[in-house]
Amino acid sequence: MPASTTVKVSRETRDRLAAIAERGETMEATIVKLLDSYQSVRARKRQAWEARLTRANDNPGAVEWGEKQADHLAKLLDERQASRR
Amino acid sequence: MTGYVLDDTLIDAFGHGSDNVARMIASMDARQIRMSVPAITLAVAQAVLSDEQCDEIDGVVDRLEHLQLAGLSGTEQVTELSRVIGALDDLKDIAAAHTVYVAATFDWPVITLDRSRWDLVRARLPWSLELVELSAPETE
Repeated sequence: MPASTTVKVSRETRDRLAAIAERGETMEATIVKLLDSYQSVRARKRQAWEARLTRANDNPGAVEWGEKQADHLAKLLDERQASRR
Repeated sequence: MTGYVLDDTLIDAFGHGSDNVARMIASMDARQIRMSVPAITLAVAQAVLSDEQCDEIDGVVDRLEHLQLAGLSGTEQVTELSRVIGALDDLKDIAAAHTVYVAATFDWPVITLDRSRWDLVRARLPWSLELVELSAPETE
């Protein structure tokens, strides 16, 4: 059994946790379930973006266009800031 | 510190799989150019996208350091946005209103793939909206 500790939460938060707990489920099990769910969603979205970027990086036309636009936009910002000094 | 507000033509293109826009956003982030995505503009754009397409957008917002979601916090911001919606009058274009609001708040230009998307909005705004239209890619 891992060492345990105490986390103070408001009564409202405790009630919200209790409301989503399955019957007989410990508070820790509920929190772990929520953490797993959160991390899973974050990972899925991160992977979706990484796959998307990999696809874009394999497209030479997109790389060229993207780099060109980013250079152009960086230059415009520099000019904009210089004109306001 | 300055940057750009992304409009719905860009969000829409990204959502529908544009490699060009994905690559441009990544290149801007690599150059430490700040970008803002207005939350309401994003929500309207996502309304017609699949869960998988929304994941890609959420993923880029989560992952890129220089791309931030611009939400609304507090009654003052809500009221300010309502004034922009009012200025757009009959358009009822909430996606455009939030983009205009964020651009005005940050004093950042809006980047768009189609300047004409903003014609009706600009005609109704009592202040100027700074737009940067990106050149059309030759291929996708």
